Amino acid sequence: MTRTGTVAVSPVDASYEVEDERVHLRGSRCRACQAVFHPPRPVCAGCGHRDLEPVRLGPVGTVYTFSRVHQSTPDFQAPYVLAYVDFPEAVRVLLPFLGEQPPTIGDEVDLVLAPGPRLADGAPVTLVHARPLPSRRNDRG
Amino acid sequence: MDEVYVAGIGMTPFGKHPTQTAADLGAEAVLLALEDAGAGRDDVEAAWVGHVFQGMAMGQRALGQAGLSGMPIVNVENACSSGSTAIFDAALAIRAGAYDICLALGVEHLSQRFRGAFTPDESDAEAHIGLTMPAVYAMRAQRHMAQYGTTAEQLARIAVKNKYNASLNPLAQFKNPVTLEEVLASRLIAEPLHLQECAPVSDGAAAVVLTSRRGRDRLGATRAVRLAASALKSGRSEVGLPDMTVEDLTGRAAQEAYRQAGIGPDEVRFAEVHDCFSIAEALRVEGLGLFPHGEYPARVARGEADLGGRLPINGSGGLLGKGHPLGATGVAQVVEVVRQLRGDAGARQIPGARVGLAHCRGGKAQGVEGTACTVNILVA
Ligand SMILES: [Zn+2]
Repeated sequence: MTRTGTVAVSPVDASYEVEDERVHLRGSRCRACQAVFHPPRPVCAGCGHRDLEPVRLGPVGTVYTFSRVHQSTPDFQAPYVLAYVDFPEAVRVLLPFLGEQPPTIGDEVDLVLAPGPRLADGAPVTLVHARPLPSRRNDRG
Repeated sequence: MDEVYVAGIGMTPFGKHPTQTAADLGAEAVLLALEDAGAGRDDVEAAWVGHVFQGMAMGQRALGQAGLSGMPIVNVENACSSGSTAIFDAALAIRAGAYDICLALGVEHLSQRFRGAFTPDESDAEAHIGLTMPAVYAMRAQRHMAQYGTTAEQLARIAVKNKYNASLNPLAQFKNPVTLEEVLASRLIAEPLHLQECAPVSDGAAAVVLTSRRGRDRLGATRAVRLAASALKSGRSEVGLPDMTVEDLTGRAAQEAYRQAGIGPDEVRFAEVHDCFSIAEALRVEGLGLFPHGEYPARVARGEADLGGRLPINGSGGLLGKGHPLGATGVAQVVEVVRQLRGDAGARQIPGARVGLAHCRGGKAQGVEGTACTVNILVA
């Protein structure tokens, strides 16, 4: 069964879908130049073509870079970890990283829904997060 | 095409100005620049005014405060490159032969508007995830460290250098040098960047009088400096998996500026670049072709970018030391380059400097590499 959703705080935000408890991001692929985008977009930013098809990203990607953020705006609860994750579809997506321990560059991650660092009315907002693959999670004990 | 000259410069101290408004600061910079150029208010044919967060008609308010009104006034918003885009626009109008004497002003009063970290615009999804400007540069720093062996200590030395230079600049926000240990002991903002590696919240304004050759001669501005190049580019859409240590935007603006000036990067004797964070200075100068890609932090540690070094970078103190009132920053960089070329830089004078470059790169918008980037080259 497939469930879909859009993060509530922003209608243009990361749309995702959950199938058999695996979280995927939704994107679009240009039928002319094959460039892939997330979030999905109506016009190709690479070549201007308007014919894009939906594509599913993940569920596994690789950490391109990361940082643990210690100071943010009052709307966020620091510290939190952010990572740019590269997906095999050749698209890079910024994601919150699950937990307070940062990854290292090159770590493999999958996706999970979890309360994010943003606070709406004092409560965390659910966001798609990157998390270490199970083998990595076990390594960390 | 007409040649363009900087005939007058003016700048307020950068820092916290709780008793002055943005219009007060802008007017002060304008009056200083007019006086320096030997220009009266009626000499100014048109004005461009860069700012980011000052609201509607900032230019009319600041110029009105200085007693100037009635001429064409254009308000310019281009993120941190707003002020330098005002210079680009004014220079373009002069080159096109539309005017002989123009004003470019950059102004920002941030201290009563902002605290904490800057974020991208709220309409970007990335802002909802918690992306801050320090985090953007922290993540680029992590890549620079992984790819080139750059260390947190080398990055911190960029802040030490710029804050030392600022201590020689009476208009700078930070008056005191800091040690490497103090930078590394300041609190983490986004790893690996510490507080002392992030530009402060600042108020300030800077202005230049730009002229054609005819305008320069009409004013009798004998100390005018030639603006040999003024280039503006915007960031390209990011497609695929680009190398985040490479500044394509800076590189394209630089190529255009070098082409206009008819010089290569090896002829630049000193530069003011957009060091909003320590790592940013490395990314800029490597993108400008002033230092080999990946090597800048190690070369800073060897003193190559010091005021007495091979190629001084941010002798004014840069954004890290002089301060960063967003809209004013790009104009203040040009003010500093002119001061150096005239031999007026006092304790931070670079002997024999004939060719100086000012690089200003602003902002973050989702899906593009950067918002806007200007490169101005001045020749004595
Ligand atoms: Zn395309």
